[in-house]
Amino acid sequence: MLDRSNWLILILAVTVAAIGGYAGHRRHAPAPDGSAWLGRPLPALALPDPAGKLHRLTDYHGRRVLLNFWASWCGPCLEEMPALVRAQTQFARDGALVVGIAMDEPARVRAFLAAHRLNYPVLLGRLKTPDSSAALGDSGGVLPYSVLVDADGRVLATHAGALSAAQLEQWLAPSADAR
Amino acid sequence: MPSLFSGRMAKRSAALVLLLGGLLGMLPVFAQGTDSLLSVTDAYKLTADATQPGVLKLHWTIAPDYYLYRGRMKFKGGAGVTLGQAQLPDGEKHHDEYLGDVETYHHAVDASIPYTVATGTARLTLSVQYQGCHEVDPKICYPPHTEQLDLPLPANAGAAAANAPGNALGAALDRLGSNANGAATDQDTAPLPAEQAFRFEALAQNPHRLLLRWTMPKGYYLYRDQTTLKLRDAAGLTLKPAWPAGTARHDEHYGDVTVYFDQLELPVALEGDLGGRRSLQLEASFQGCQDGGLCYPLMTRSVAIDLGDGTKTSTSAPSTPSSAPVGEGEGEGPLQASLMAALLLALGGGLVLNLMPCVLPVLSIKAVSVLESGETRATARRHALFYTGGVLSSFAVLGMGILALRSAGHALGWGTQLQQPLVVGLLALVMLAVGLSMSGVVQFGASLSNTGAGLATRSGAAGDFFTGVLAVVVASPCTAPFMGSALAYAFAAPMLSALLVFLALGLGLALPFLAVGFVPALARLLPRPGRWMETLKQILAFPMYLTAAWLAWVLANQRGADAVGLLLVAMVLLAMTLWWFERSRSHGITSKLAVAVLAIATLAPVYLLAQVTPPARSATAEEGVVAYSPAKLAELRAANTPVFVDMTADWCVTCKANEHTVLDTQTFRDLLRRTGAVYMKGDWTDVNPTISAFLQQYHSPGVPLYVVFPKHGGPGRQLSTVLTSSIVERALTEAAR
Repeated sequence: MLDRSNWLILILAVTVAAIGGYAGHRRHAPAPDGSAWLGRPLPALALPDPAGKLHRLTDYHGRRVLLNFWASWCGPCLEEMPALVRAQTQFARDGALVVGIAMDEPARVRAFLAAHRLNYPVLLGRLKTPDSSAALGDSGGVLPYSVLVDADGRVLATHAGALSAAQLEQWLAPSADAR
Repeated sequence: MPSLFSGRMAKRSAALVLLLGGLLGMLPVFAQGTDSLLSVTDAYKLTADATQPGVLKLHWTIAPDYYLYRGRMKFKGGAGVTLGQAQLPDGEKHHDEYLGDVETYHHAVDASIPYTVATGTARLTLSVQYQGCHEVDPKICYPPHTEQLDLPLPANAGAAAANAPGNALGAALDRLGSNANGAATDQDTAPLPAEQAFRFEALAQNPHRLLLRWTMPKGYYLYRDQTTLKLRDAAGLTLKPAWPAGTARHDEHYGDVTVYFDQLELPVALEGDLGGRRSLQLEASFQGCQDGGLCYPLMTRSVAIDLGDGTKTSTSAPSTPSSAPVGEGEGEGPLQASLMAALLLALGGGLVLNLMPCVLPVLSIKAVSVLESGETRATARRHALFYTGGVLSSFAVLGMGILALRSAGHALGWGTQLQQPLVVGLLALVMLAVGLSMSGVVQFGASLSNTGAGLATRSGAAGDFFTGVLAVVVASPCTAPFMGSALAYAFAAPMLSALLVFLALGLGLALPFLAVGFVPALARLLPRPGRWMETLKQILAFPMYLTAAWLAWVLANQRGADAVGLLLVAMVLLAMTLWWFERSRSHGITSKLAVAVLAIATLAPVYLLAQVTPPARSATAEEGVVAYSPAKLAELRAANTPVFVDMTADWCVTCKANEHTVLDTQTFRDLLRRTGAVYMKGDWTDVNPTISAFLQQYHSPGVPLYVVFPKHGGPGRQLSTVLTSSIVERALTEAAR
């Protein structure tokens, strides 16, 4: 058998590793897990705009797109909007585009848009399951939720919560795949 | 004891400190929070309290750093429920740049909602919608979340008519009307005759413990304090009822009382000298009412209770067939045995348990070591005693554990630890380790240099003790024929008796080795030790591997291929750990550290195994087999179909054996067709509260449980845990009569 000190080492090592592993894996469900989407092409979603016209996400091929899921009742989403408007102004000439997808009742979205001017297109997301944000990895339906798509329609990144100015810059700045 | 700081130890201590330092250094990596957002129901925990008539109280427990919006709370009553204005406390007010003036709640919030229900509404149903956000990074908001609540109505609210809500006079008039003779209220159901509304049964669990049961349909209740129990011609005997909690109620007639709805099971202790009596005459007087309807005058029922073998139903109740269970003369059936009989059954059960496929592999290790230790009688006795000690302690701990958890409300039985895939995985690894030890890959217990020196060392004794523990651990999924009733008794009996039953089981299990250790004649029958022992030990490793394979198969059924993959990886790593462990015996500290690393690596897949989620159970439509559900069972019985209910589990070896010999055969299928019976199967492989409730109803300690329900109503008949085709044939033909 092991002598005393070796037993000590073995037991302590295993205990510490177990504690570390436990502490590290204390995850709550469900954190929005868009990581499953990274590198995959966008699903072929078609969503209406507030005027009723249907747009396909494939219409935006050739441009880097930031899909931003929001709602009129979501404070953090509304706080993020000015930054998105600024980003759209700044990076539009590089070919980037912000598309807002409203996970909200159409009437409320129209009322909001009438009161606030946005310089990027807004589409009405599907609210019934499977809802549009869940379709792109936002399993808990939390808002705001953003998805970055490259010019070929592949998902580059996802993020739950508002994007900081630095992150917006990193996401939308000109890159190798610009036209 | 060597000081920790002398010479070589100092080097080892240094290595130890280094290792610890390295591992602790890794902790911060783990401690970094990755996004740890709670699910919406975890962030805002909603509880409801409907005990006060007319007012529903809601409480949200809000996790730290989360908040709810006052203005986003919506309440909607369900069918027959009208909600009044919800009372919400003032929240923290602030002006949001975009949302305007908002009020938010942190930590907790209480709301009360007045309501009225239309007559005939059975339950308080409503939907509650709330919406909230996360205060710190990542700052997100949850979409509005709706919860459907379905709550029982408090006692007095039942018959309140849907007059103008909040009309106090109207409500008071309604309550008066409801306690009068039922004419004023719109009751959908006319009151039943007393015989049907209050069914009374009594049986003797043992000669000093009676169980009285009242069964009432929904809406009828019984007054605790108006119940009197008397024994006829029984001087010297006293009855001590142990009344359960019941529902508190303010009654117009009796004041503050305790009543019982649906079903009351009343254990009554019988004290005094029975004087050889085989039966007792019990007279019970009780009073009850229909909620919102009429009250019944005092009812008196007389029952003859047979102390020998149990149940008789009330003589004045509608006749029901005797619920004496079928047994093959083994006295199988719940709550039948007195303590002595239970102990004997337990002893027998433990003995037979030695032959069960679960225990046989462990038995083989023990057999080999017993043979190896054939030197002196004293050592043989010592080994037998330590083994028995291990077995007895484990049985006691296991039994007490199950009893404690059952009294705390968990539905557990014998073998239920195998419902946890982690336990199954760990057991499989244990089996593998033991198998490898027997194949010679690794040596546990005495090291190679000690085998010759006699096994009277401390490590030898500890080894025997732990072999005993292992035997019990491995035996738990199996239920031997006699064990069933002994366990059923143990689960219904007081603590001390239960403990004795478990110890008797342990004694039975250890009996063969005790016998060999203490009876020299038997020991002489054992073959002489020799080289053949080594071969035998290696051959016996294979049943251990088979057991590991069986457990892997159980795991596959519980959690699917991914789980089995993880288990196989863990097994490979374990084999590597053990192999290296053996090699590192003579090497330095680095090899030993490598063993530690490998051991940790083995734990990783095991941990992941525990995280695998159960697959969505697709109803495997076996031909002609119906999955168990209480609703379906009631439906079939109402349609006058005999039903054969089989509660089984993948890890239950007895169940599988019965299926193989009886239930999966063409004869059985023909029998079902002939009798027009339906075969209903309940799968208890995973935790399943519906099935646990059914098992508890029949006082069954675990699976298998076979109950046959006859064609024309009447209680189900429980069959013995080991089936033969004749038992099944007899039971089904009787049920179809």
